Amino acid sequence: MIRIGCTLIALFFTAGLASAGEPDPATPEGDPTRAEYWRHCSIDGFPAAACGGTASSCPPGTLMSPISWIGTCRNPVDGKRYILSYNDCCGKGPCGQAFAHRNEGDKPVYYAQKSNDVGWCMGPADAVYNSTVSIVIGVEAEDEE
Amino acid sequence: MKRLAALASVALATLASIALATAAAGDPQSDYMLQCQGCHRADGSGFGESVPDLRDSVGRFLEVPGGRAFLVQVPGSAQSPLSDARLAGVLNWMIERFGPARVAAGFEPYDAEEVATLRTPLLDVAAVRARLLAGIAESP
Repeated sequence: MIRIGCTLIALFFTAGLASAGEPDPATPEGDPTRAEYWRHCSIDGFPAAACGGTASSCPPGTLMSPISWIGTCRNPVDGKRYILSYNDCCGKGPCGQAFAHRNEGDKPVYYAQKSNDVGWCMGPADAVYNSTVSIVIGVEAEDEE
Repeated sequence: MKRLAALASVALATLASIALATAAAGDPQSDYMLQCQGCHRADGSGFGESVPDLRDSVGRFLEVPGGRAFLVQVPGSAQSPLSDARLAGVLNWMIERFGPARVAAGFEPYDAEEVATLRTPLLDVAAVRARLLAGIAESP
């Protein structure tokens, strides 16, 4: 299922788009409940942390999709780029909070595996989209090629 | 059951976060994570009938005619943004990582030149895969 419908819902629910800005100065790495949080740099949807979950866990009553799309974001504290898995949380209606429309590394939908417009609520998590986690799964070092 | 699965996913994700893999961009594991893992998953288990399970499986294609080319020509390989050299590297890494071990122990690694020669997307992936799997099923 394509995320376009979700995006429209998100525009309805939220007052404005998040800018790809700097982290919340209140904490070193920023606030994961906000769209601007560094780990959310490739999210097109609602951060799970703003919906009752955390940056790495889904809100109660939702199920995490087993498959995901993978991207990288720069941690503003240490300057390193981290590899992140964006798994969707599924099973309840769209959260509607802190809509993040940040698309670093996003590709057109004909590169489905690298497009954040694609919904990942499939298989055991085959249900309506609720939100998205931003799980750090690795550290990307300098490109040598 | 769904709750257990969700808890398991969270636990695995947490473990993964704790034991971060530090991988240089351009090294095969990093390329697997960025280009393959989203669907094939970290352990290669895939996703039902939609995404093939690589475990004790991916290397078996090297044991049947046409299988070596097939691994370069599947959409995730042929259409990936990886260079020929990096695609060769991640294919070699996957065969060594996911096996089967008897293949991984003695296979001839891909290199950039071979990948460049083979890298033509298949028109009917499912049909070719079905034919190759039939051959694998008949092989010892």
